[in-house]
Amino acid sequence: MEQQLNRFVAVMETAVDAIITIDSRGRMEMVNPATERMFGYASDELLGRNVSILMPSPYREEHDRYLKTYLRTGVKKIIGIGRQTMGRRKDGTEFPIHLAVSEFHEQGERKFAGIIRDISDLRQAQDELQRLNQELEERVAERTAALERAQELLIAKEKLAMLGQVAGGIAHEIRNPLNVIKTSTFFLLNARTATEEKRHEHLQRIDRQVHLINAVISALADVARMPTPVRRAVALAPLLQSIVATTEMPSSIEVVLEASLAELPCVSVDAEQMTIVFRNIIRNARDAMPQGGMLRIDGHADGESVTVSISDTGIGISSEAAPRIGQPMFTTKARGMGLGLAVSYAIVQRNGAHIDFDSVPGQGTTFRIVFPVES
Amino acid sequence: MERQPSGIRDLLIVDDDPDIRINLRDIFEDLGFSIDTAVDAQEALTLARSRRYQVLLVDFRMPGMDGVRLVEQMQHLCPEAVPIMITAHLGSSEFPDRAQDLRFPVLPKPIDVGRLLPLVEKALAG
Repeated sequence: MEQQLNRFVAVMETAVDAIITIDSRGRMEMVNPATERMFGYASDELLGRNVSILMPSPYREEHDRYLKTYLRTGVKKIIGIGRQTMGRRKDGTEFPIHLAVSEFHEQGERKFAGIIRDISDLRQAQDELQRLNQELEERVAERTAALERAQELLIAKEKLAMLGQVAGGIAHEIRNPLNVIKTSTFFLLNARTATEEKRHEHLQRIDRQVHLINAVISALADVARMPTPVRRAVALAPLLQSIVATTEMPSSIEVVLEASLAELPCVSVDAEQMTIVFRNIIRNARDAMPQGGMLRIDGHADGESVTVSISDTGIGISSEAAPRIGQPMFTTKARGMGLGLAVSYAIVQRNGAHIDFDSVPGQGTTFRIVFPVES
Repeated sequence: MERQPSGIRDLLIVDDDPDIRINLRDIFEDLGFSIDTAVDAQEALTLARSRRYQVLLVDFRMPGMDGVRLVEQMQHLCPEAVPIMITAHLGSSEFPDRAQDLRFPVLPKPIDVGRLLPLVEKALAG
């Protein structure tokens, strides 16, 4: 018994944690030296007093009620569970603790033993960790925001570059007719020797240029809002004949519509939209032959597809330009916005067909439009 | 080809736009100039071999050789001719940076003839 007591005393005396026993009303009956060190009280200041003096508000005020409720109902809040809470030193400072409570009986009275560990260091480490974590999160958020800003800036720059290209093309296409209008107007207003015939000629010229500007605006509107194709069975030979007949062509260019076209089966396309495509390709072929040459339109059909080939004997497409063919605002012409083939590619795709080309610089170019055969 | 004696008010207009060629011809002929027009740099150089011009009115962007290169070549062929350039691309990236180094006036399209005429008169006086 004495041996047991000695051991018990040794444990109490050397424990780093505070060990306190209380009676059923909360009065302290035993405190170990660690309690004195932890809370700054001498043991005689504690013994017999309510343990709540070691707790800050609001635990201090609520402790008696907790204890009573537990004794009455047996509902455990801490006992056997342990929890983190706050302790209060004699000098009024508060510190985080871990509290474990167990119940024991002594001479028929229910009593409690509490083991209290000062977890200031742990809490500090936790706080530090949380702070570091938060700091890390903030830095990640900051970096992410910076990257997002950089990306937005890049997109804005690309958009701006594209817009610049578009605006440049439009400016050129509109300034040229404006130039004619302005100089005609100057002539009409200032010429000393203008005949009636001359005046009329200039007025007609102004009228033509207004139409040209309007055509530029229409072309842009077409790009912005390309209507859904209305597909019907279309015979290609008469369509191509009428397009060739209404496309301006210098006498130095020989146009050959091959007999094979007449044998092609009908294809299901929007005839108005395909007219734009064929006309664009025929005009490009014409513009590629400033010294004249031959423009040849040929047809071929097999069980799966119908192909129209439009060939010229012109300057051809350089290997640098070839990958950019069909890109909006790309042009090799002195006059032109670089919309024709871009629009044509989009139309062909929307009509279920596809387009490709072969070109040999200095010898000529062949564009092929391939339509799937109707089943 | 025999060179004609230099005229007093001989002006060469180089522009690939036929309407502009006609308009500038009408305006300057009305003012008493003697006008030739060329559709591109090649035609302009051919004309300059047979006639001495006082003023060259040159479009910048043309098929083939551009206006700046045409003026450079003209200065060997016809050094007394004063060039004036017209461009739809002034202030855009398409107009070359070398435009700043050009020693002749560059006018934007659409042409302000009221601004062009004093430049032509000055070229003739100089």
